[in-house]
Amino acid sequence: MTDQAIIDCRGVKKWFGDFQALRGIDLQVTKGEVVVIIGPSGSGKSTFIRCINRLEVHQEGQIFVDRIELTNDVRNIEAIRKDVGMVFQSFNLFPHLTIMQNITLAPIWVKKQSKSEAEAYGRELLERVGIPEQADKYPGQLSGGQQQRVAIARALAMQPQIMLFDEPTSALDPEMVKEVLDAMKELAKEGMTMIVVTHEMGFAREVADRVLFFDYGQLVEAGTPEHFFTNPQHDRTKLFLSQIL
Amino acid sequence: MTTAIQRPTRPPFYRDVTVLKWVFQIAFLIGIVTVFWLLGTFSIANLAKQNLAVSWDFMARPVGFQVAEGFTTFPESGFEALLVGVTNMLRVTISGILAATILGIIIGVSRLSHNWLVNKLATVYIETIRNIPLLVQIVFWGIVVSIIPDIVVDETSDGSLKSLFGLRLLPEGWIFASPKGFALPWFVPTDGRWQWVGFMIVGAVATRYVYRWRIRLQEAGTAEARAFLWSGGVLLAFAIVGTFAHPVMGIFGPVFGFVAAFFQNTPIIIFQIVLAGLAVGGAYYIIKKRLDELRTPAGLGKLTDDDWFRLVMAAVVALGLALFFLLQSGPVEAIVGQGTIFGQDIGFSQLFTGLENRFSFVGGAPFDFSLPAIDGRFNNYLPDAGHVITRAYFALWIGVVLYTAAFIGEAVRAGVLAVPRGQTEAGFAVGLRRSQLLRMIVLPQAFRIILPPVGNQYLNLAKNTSLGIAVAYPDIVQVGQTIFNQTGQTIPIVISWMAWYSFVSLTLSAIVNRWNKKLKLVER
Amino acid sequence: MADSEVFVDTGELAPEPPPSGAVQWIRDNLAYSVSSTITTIVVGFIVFFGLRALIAWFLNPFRKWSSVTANSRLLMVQAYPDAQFSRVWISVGIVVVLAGLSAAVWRVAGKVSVGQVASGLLSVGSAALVLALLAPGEFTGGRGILAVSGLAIAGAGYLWKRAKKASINDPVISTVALAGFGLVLIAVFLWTIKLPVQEVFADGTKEVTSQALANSTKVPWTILLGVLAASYVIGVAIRDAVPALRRILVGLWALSFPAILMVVMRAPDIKWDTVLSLDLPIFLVVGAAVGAALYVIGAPDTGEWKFIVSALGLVLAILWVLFSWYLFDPTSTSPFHITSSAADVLQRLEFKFPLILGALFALAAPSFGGAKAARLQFIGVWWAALGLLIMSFRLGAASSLLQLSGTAFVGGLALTFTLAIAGIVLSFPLGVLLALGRASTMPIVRMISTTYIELVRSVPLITWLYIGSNLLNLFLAGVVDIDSVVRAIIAITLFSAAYLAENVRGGLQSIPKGQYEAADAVGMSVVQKTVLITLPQALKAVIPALVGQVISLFKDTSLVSIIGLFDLLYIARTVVPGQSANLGSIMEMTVIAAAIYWVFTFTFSRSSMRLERRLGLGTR
Ligand SMILES: Nc1ncnc2c1ncn2[C@@H]1O[C@H](COP(=O)(O)OP(=O)(O)OP(=O)(O)O)[C@@H](O)[C@H]1O
Ligand SMILES: [Mg+2]
Repeated sequence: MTDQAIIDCRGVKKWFGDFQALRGIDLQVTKGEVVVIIGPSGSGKSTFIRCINRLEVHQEGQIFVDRIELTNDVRNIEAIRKDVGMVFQSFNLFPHLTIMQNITLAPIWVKKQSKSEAEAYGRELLERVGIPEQADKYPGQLSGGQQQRVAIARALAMQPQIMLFDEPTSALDPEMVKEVLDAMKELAKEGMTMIVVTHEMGFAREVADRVLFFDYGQLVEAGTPEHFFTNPQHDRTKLFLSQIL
Repeated sequence: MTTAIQRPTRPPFYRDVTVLKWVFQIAFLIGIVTVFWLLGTFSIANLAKQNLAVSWDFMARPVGFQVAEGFTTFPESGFEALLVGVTNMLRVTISGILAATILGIIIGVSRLSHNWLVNKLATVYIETIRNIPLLVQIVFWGIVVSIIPDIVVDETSDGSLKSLFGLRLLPEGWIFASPKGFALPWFVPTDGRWQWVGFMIVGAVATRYVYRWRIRLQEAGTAEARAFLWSGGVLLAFAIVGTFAHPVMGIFGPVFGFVAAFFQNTPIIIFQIVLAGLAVGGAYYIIKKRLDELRTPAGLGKLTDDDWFRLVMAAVVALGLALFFLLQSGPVEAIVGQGTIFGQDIGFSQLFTGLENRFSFVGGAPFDFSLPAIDGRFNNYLPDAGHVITRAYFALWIGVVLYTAAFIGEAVRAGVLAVPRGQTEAGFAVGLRRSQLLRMIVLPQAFRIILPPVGNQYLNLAKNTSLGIAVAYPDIVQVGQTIFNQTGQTIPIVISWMAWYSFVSLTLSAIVNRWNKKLKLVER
Repeated sequence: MADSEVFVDTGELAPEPPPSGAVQWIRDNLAYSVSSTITTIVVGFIVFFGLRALIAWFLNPFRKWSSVTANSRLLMVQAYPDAQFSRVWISVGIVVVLAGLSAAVWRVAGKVSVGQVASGLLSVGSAALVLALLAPGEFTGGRGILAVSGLAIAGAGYLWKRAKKASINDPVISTVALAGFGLVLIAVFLWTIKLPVQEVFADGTKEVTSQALANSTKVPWTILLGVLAASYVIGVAIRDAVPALRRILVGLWALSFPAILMVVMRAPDIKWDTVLSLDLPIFLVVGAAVGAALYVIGAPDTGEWKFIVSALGLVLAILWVLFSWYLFDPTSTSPFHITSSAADVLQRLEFKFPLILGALFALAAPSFGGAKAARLQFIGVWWAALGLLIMSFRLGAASSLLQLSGTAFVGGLALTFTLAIAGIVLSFPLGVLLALGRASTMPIVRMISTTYIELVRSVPLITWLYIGSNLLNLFLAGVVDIDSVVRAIIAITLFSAAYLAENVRGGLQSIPKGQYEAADAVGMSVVQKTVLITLPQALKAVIPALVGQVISLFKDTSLVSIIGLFDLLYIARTVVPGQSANLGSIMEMTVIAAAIYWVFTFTFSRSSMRLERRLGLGTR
């Protein structure tokens, strides 16, 4: 199994000062799999997926992305960041650039595509997330849902193999959640490997291949959505599910 | 299928982010050091060509010039001359800060006034003063003083100011105004003043306790506080009693003498060891504290670059200092007072000897009231009679005060405006009177916002006193400049300037930060 | 309506106009309580007598105002040679043209309501009237004219305001029309208003005659006003046709300052044979060689060796420059004995600085290279930078064609502006680097930057000017003799960079962490992150603070008068009162200098407030 795993984490540990945020996470994700992570606040979900594209540096254990190990090696960091896209809870669009510039910035400067090539693909992506007409506006002029879809397009513009979502709908008004989730479902259908931290259980049930439950920096329980929501094994999982469902 | 615990693999060094980061930094450091080394060699070589080796000798040698004003006008050495400059600078700075604060608050409040005339006057003041360079203003005031006879002095008078715009002022001979400045009646300190000041220090401590006591009573609800009234009264009582009772403080004379003797007679090696021990101990304390904060279950591998840097720096500095103190007895001797620095006896021993001499049961009032007087031949003011405000001092002082007050006024206005309206309304709602509202609700909150920018203005005022050189006010810059014109010793003078101003800045910002912290604590 | 009876008769509910009129105004603003009435009276007395004394002082016949009119040229440009004076007018013309175009392109024009204009007229007229009434002496001549015109203007304003209040809608006037009217008015004033001017004849006798305001310069000023209007009109005409006009204008503004200073005003004596035999070859050879290297290094995915090679190149280039001064100089007999002029030294450096620049470009190439088009664009930037560098060397090394009395070709207000602009422009890159250094995660870099910033800021400017004027020549004596103006510029630059760094740091701190993370997540390098994400946002956030710094720098330049440069203050305070014809005019001259500083500073600060408001409204 490890051989086909596109993400392979072995005993990942991470401390903030003397606080241990991750207590040895083991996880293998195969290509095309959609993994949803749930868990109480402060359980280390964000920290974990941020380790996967090295926004946080893990201190023990190993992480392989597409068989490249995440180390201090400049070459590896560069390669992995090109391969892993990320969508943040607070969008983090660049406010001083137009939507099109937001999307094409990285392809042009990091991937070294030509401007026309990048813009053509950017237009295609905007089409896919359903906002082709907003290309020349600035992020501040868009609604939250539109901004988050732009953020998805921006991540996709690098043509990553893996997409990380950190609570992409938490900062949105309820009526905008659907449009973002739809875009994500679309993506999942196309066979993108995705790791999604979310509290949207409906999404997890419908789209996820696997649901992971985190607590206290540990991977407490993992399973298919069906197993997970109907027949959780662990007490902590049961407690958590009873609270949110 | 948990795997055995593994560390991430190490990449080759030339691709390791950490290694690259440190290589870059060290190269950067080497580059900077090289540039300074080159500049240093260039200038030393150039000085050598002019037969001028860098030397601090002028600090000990007599200077060939007279300083226009200060605690002495004939400094015995370069060091003393610079010291005169320093005290002159402090004189303007301290009195300037006081005056600018008062005026600035008045201006700021006027800007908030509902009275159209007052409001507009304050606005015009601020817009005029802020937009003209301070230097121009100082020069302007210098000129104003120099044409004083044309403006205010009666033609018949001997320079003493009898009337202003036709209004009769004080008795003749009390106030003088001339192109050389002003002279006023003043309390001239006598030898007893040191003991009196000592008495007042005791008084200040007592006042502090009284103030706290009143506040406690208020909080307990037993009495109306009137804390300011009480503490002011206590301080005043001390001032008056101290005028007669200050010789009591003479008991401290022998104590100071004993301390002086201690510094003089203890073998120097003991001080060396103590100082080195302090340096090492301090560093040990800092490092240990930091490590305790950082200790993690996974050991100390989690230190960030910054942590490493701080710890290593602390250790290196401490060891360097300790070695310095142990190997170099000269500086330690100078600090303690057993040796000299720049030919000056300025160690602790001398300090306490001086204090001993000043606390020696002199009777009589600590201050004499004296009228100004004029030296008949040149119409100079006698420096020891009354209080003389020279033209240069006045021009600089009024310049920095008016200028700084404009900025303080703006800060005060902004601070008061920043207090939310709801606060005022809530205050009225709970039935506070207007004066209480200001004192208890608005001002404390505004104060917190006002303090940082005003502290910054104090710092600016301190630095701006250096502009006194334009009207020949002998502050440290002017004196230093005179010295290097004479001796050519640019580099030591520049170093002295930097040391002094850095010291002032650090001290002032430390004070402001402390206040800031205190206010923040109150907030919680 | 069925339940209309519930309502009271609407006639009674009609809003009453708020109490108005002069008496009511006074009651509201000056005398709303006993204490306020007393304050008003006391302050009113002070203001009244203060104003009176001030006006009396101004109009006193003993005032030597003629020393100002007689020395206006000295105040502006010091002793710029008469024969070449057209260069000054060309310089002003360049600024005027750019200002007119920019006003059109950035659409500063707006609308102002008639009521506001009327109020303005009312206050200006009343002020004139009050001044005229307060002034002492006979009620004739200028005073009478002032009083009558003040009354007329105020009256017109008041009537207009009344009329406007009667009408419901508030008509507006375009500010462009108002400005145009103002320009015409100024032109008319230039030709009609007369001022006393003192002439000194060869035999030493003096005569005060009455001459038109700006007598000798009214023709050029009138032309310039026309040029201003014309360039605005042109700007309006082309602003929609040329979309890149804003960017072009920014570039032109950036180039205008060095061009005016080094080319127009300084009149450099350029040896074209040297340009052809030296500059051009350097430009072509270095440009082509480094350009080719950039093309290779900038290609995508060339691996780490590109960093290593360009970093080594940079280190070697820097070492070469630092040490070649005495290690490789065949003409020097000892390391520190170099008998060459500034021009020679610049000549020798001309080979070396382009190499440092090239190495820096090579380091940046992996970040900004990429596809062929991008690489070619980057190489274009390299050629432009190299060209500018070589050009500035050539201009700096060339001697001036001007016949000067002193060493400096700028003085007076022109020097004040030169110092302020050069200070801010040159300190900008250094300040940004220092800010980045202080915000960096690298401890050593941060420590060095912080030390620099704090040390510079804690020591007053005047000491830095002394250090500049004394130590710089000590450091570099024998290598290059730096002109006193340049030394002042260096000192001001180093000083202002520290303050600028603190401002920029404020901007950097205002950027949310998410911005860095987003940039990291798409794989941007540190350089790309800084140039493309961080700096644009940080700089935009601190524009108001930067303008504030320009203002304070403008005021601070007056300090150079202490070290004896001929700036505005020095001329006003020392030079003019030293002339035999104008002895004793120091007070008048200082007041005028203060007024000149005030006008510019006040204008700057008002425009910056407007800019701030505009930026606040802009899109984010
Ligand atoms: N930069 C940091 N410094 C110190 N502690 C941190 C840092 N980032 C996260 N933590 C701590 O690590 C723990 C895990 O944080 P994390 O953000 O991963 O939680 P989470 O599961 O994503 O929670 P949430 O659902 O609230 O987003 C928290 O207790 C948090 O306080
Ligand atoms: Mg989270």
